[in-house]
Amino acid sequence: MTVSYLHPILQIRDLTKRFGGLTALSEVSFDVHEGEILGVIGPNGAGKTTLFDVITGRYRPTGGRVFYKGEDITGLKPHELVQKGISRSFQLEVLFSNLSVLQHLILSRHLHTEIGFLGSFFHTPSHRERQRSTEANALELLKVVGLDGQKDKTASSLSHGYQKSLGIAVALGTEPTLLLLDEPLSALSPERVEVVLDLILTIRDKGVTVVVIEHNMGALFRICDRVVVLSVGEKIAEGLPEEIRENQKVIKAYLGGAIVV
Amino acid sequence: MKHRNLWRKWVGVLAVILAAFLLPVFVQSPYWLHVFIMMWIYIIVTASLRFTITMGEWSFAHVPLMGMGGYASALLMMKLGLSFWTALPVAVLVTAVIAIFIYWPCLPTTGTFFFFTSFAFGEVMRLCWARFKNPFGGQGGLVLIPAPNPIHIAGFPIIEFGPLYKIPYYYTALTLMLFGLLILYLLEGSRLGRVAEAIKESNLLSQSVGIRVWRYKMVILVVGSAFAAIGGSIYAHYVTLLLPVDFYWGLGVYIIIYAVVGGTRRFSGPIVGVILFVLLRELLRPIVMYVPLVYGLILAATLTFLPEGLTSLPDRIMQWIEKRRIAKA
Repeated sequence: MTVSYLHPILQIRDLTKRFGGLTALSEVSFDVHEGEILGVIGPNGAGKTTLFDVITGRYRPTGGRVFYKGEDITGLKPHELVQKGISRSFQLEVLFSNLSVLQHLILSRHLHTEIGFLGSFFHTPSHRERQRSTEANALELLKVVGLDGQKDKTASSLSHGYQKSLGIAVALGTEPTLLLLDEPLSALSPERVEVVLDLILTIRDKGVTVVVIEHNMGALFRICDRVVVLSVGEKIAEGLPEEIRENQKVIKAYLGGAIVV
Repeated sequence: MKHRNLWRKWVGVLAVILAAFLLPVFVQSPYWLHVFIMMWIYIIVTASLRFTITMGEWSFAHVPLMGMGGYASALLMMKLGLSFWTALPVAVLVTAVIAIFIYWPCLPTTGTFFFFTSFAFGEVMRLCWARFKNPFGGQGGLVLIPAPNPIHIAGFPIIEFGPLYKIPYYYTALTLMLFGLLILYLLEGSRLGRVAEAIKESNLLSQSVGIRVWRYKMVILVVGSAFAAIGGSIYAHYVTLLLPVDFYWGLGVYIIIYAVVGGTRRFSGPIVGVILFVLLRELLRPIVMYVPLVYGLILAATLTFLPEGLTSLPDRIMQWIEKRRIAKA
């Protein structure tokens, strides 16, 4: 896979986020290139999730800018960013607990379903036709993430691994060009890890740029093109997986939890 | 099987509607007609409250907004000389616009905070009616509100409204109530209803799939208020007297009790709740001072034993039978 390093799809410049006296992110800058898988690693409390929260508009940054395809998107709302093609999954299960898997996928198609309010009000034939196509789309997506056998179960009754996959499926349903995954491998069984790794590669091969936060570095380093390392809110390293493995600063940051790659 | 159940359900609904239309044939006492007219008004107010609850926030401004519907249509008739049949839809629109201003400051909050901010802003509006004698009549309220204009339909006798003619009020309230329920039912099955459910389940994920949570919440609250205004308007022209104190927070509590005891998960919940409590109140007439106590006990018992309300009872029984069958096998 050749990656063109000439086209940054996302540019993060001096991004800072303070919560009261606590600095969660401190002047972090890096680029995400089109078509790559970028890993973001760092010890607990390094600010990885805060980074995603700021990029996707959940929090406003205290300082710094974010550019997407050259356009300044700092401080836009989550739903505006989804419209532009930036989608994310969550670390903890953020799902519609009482809704079925299929309903999740239909809702994830919200932006790609024509408004047709009157149609949905009167259940006209054209509306039913649209509903059928949305449903077909949703089922196809469920097959991609391996959830096609679970479509009628409620999200809360799924196993942890399936819930994680559902989170990714919902993010994919919005048809992103940039997908941010927050610890998609955490607490998964070894077999499930392989499935999700394959899934991430499939997503990338379809032309989606992927940024992955992960603790499981062994697995992450097998699929990602480049790695950014955060520690206590600062970027301490950036480079190819092989370079990061050797980096003294990174090893030091992880000291106490010896780095096993 | 599923189709047959659906068919049965609609036959049941039609039978209930037919019974409601035929009721005045059997019940001629003005007293009981009054009880049923008030029942229809409460049903539309409670069902519209439940509609707003589907997106996960409980509004306490609902009853004051019902009152706004009443004040608006009464004033449109008294000051501008509009006919009731024009004043009603205009009052609904006016209330919808006012609802936007009431809920604007409430919407950044959620949960308990939404409950209390909506209470506060609803109360501000109610106190405005009490404070401003012109046009709201102050604490003394609006008196001598005209009855709805007579209905002329060619070939039929003229239908007149008045304190001695309860039957026209009965059918007006019933028809408007059924119309409101039909629209609310269709709205719930539409895209709006599904988005409401998503917002209730997870605000965060809703935003992440591109739902404009703020806007949808506002639309749902405004639509709910509009239907509460229909109830308020009928109330005003039926009782012919509006006092700010009629819409105090206690009525809001009662409406919430009706909805919760009936069950907020199902469309039929508030309808069952209102019918039950209005009839119960008639039973309790000899011991009227204990009404709040009895209501409180019923609420506590429901929340303890049937948290999803009375309308979840059939499903609960079915589940129980199923469990027994499996245990036996």
